[in-house]
Amino acid sequence: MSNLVANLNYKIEDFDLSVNFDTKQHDRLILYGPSGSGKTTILRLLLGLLQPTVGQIKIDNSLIVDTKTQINVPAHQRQIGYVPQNYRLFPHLSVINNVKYGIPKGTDYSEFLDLIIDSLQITDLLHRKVHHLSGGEMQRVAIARALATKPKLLLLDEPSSSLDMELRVSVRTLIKQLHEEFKIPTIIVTHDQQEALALGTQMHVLQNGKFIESGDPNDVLGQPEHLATAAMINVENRFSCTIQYRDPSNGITVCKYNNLSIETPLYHTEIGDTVIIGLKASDIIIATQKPTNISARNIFEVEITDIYTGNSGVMLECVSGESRFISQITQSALNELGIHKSQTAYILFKASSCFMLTP
Amino acid sequence: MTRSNSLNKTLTTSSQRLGVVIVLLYACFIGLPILALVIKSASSGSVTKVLLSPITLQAIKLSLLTSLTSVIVILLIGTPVAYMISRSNLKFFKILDIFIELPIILPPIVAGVAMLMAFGRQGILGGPLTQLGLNIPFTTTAVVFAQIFVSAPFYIRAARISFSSIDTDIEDLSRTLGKSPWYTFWHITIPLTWTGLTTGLALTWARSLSEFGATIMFAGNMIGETQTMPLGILTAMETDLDSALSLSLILLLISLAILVGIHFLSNQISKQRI
Repeated sequence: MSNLVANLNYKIEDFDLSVNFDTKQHDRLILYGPSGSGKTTILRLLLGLLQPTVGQIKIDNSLIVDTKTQINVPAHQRQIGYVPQNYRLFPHLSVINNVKYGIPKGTDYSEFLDLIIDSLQITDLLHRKVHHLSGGEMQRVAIARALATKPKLLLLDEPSSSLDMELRVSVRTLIKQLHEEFKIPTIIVTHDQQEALALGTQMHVLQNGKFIESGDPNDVLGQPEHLATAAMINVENRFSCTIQYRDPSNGITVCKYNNLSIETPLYHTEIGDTVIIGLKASDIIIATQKPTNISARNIFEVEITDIYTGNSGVMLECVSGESRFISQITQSALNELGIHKSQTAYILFKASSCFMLTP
Repeated sequence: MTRSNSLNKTLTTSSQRLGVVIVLLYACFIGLPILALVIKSASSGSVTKVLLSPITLQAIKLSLLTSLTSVIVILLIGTPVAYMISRSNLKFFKILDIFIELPIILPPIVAGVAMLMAFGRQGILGGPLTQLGLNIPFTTTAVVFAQIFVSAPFYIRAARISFSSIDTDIEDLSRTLGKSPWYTFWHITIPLTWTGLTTGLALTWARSLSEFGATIMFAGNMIGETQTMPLGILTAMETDLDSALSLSLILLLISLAILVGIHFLSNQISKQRI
C-alpha cells in the first residue's frame, strides 16, 4: 500500500510554486489547471527531475526528499512510474523492449509482465517498431512501460489530450480498470474537464503555482467555489449581486442583479453584501411562452440579442434591462422553438443551480 | 488543365532541369580530378611496385597507426566534451563551443606553428617537458598531437549537434524507469545519436589521415617516424610523379575504405538494436 505526502515549494525567476497534498492507494488525484499553472512542474518535482527550493516528499512514510536534512533520492531510485503527454517511447527499441526497459536485471517479472500486456491488450504489438504504432497504441505501450517497473505511484500527464474523442473514452476506461487492478495511487495532470470528471476521485485546481480549490471533481467542476476556477472551467454566467434578504426557513437568499431579484441557495452573508454568483449556461432553460406551475424559482422575461454556436451547443445571449445571461440549448431545441434574434422569451433556472463564487 | 497549372508545370520542369544540370556540373567538378588520378596512376603501372616498397609500407603503417590513435583519443575526450556542451547552460560551455571550432578555420600551418610555440623546446609547456625528458616535437607523438588538434573539432561538432538533437525528456524518462544516468547514456543517448556520432568519427578519421600542414610544421617529414602518407606524396612529387600518383591512389582507397567501413558498421549496429 502506497501513500504519498508532499509539501513542495519551488521558485524560479518570477514563478513561485507552493503546494501541499497527499494521496492514498485508492486515489486518482487530478491536478487541474491552465498551461503554465505548475502542473507538470509538480510531476517533475515528484519524479526527481527538479529539486524543490524547500520541501518534503514521503512515500509510505519514507522520506525521498527533505530539503532540511538534504535527503534527495535520485530519480532512478524513486520507483515512480511516469507516462508523459507525448509518451516518449524509445524509438530505437521495439514495443517489447520498451515495455521491458525498466525491469531490473535479475528479477523475474514475467508473470506480472504477461498480466500487464494482457490488461493493455498489446500482445499483437510486441514486435513492432514504435513508429508504426497509432496514438492509442503508443499510449497503451507507454502505460505498460511505466507499470512494468511495479511503481509505488503512477503519474499521468494529459493522458488523452492527443487522442481523438473515441479513443479518449476507451483510454479513460482503461486507466480506471488498471487502477482498480493494480491499486497504484495515481496522479493525473489535465486541463480537460471531461477527463477530470471521468478519472478523478479527488482534484486540486492549480493557478499560478497555488491550489485555489480542492475536492471531489463533481463538486469542484459542477459548482466551483472560486471565481478563478469558474473562469477556468468557463462558467458562462458570473455576475455581481447585492444580498436583498435571507430566508432561512425556505433555505434561500434573494440577491439583486441590476433590475432582477434572483433566488439562490442560503448563504452566510449579511444583507447589503455584494457577492458574485455563478450559473452555468446549460442550467438555464428557454421558453417562448411564460411557463406556469413550475418549480424553478427564477423566471425572467428577456430579449434574445445574439445566437451563436458554442463548444457544446447553441448559445443564446438573453438580456433583461441591464442584466445579461447566456443560455445553452441544443440545435434541435433552437429549430423546434423557432428562436430568432430580437425575440422575447423567458429564461428559467433553479435557485440551486446558482452558486456563490469567492474572488 | 488550366493555364496557371500548365505554367506551374513548365516552371517546375525548367527548375528541375536546371537542378539536374547543377548537380551534374558539381559531380564532374568533384569526380573528374579523382577519375584523372585513378586513370593516370593506373596507366603508370607502378601502383603495386610503390605499394610494396618499404617506404610506402612504413608511411601507410604510420598513417593508420597515428590516425587510429588520434581517433581513439578524440572519441574518449570529445564525447564527454560534446555532451557537456550540449547539456549545460553555463556560459563557459557556450564560449568553449565557439572556441572548439577554431582549428577548423585556422590554416593547418598556423596550427603547426602554434603547437611548436606550446610544445616546442622553447614553447610554453615544451621547456618544462624537455627538462622532464619528454620531447614531443618531431616525433610520432607530435604527428598524433597535430592530427588531434586539427581533426577533433569535426567529431566534437557532429557529436554536439547529435546530442542537442535529442529531447532531454527521453533521457529523463529513462531515469524515471529506474535507470541511472550512466545506463541512460549508453542505452538511450548513444543509440539515438549513433548515426551522427559515426559520421563525425568518419570525418575526423579522414581528416586525420589527410593531415599535412600542421604535421610537417610540428612533426617534420622523417621516413618511418613522422612521414605519413600525405607527406610521402609531397616527397615523391619532388622526384617521381608516378610514385606520387600511386601513393595518392592508395591514400584515396584507404580513406574510402574507412568511410564505407564505418558507415556499414554503423548501419549494422543500428539494425541490431531494434
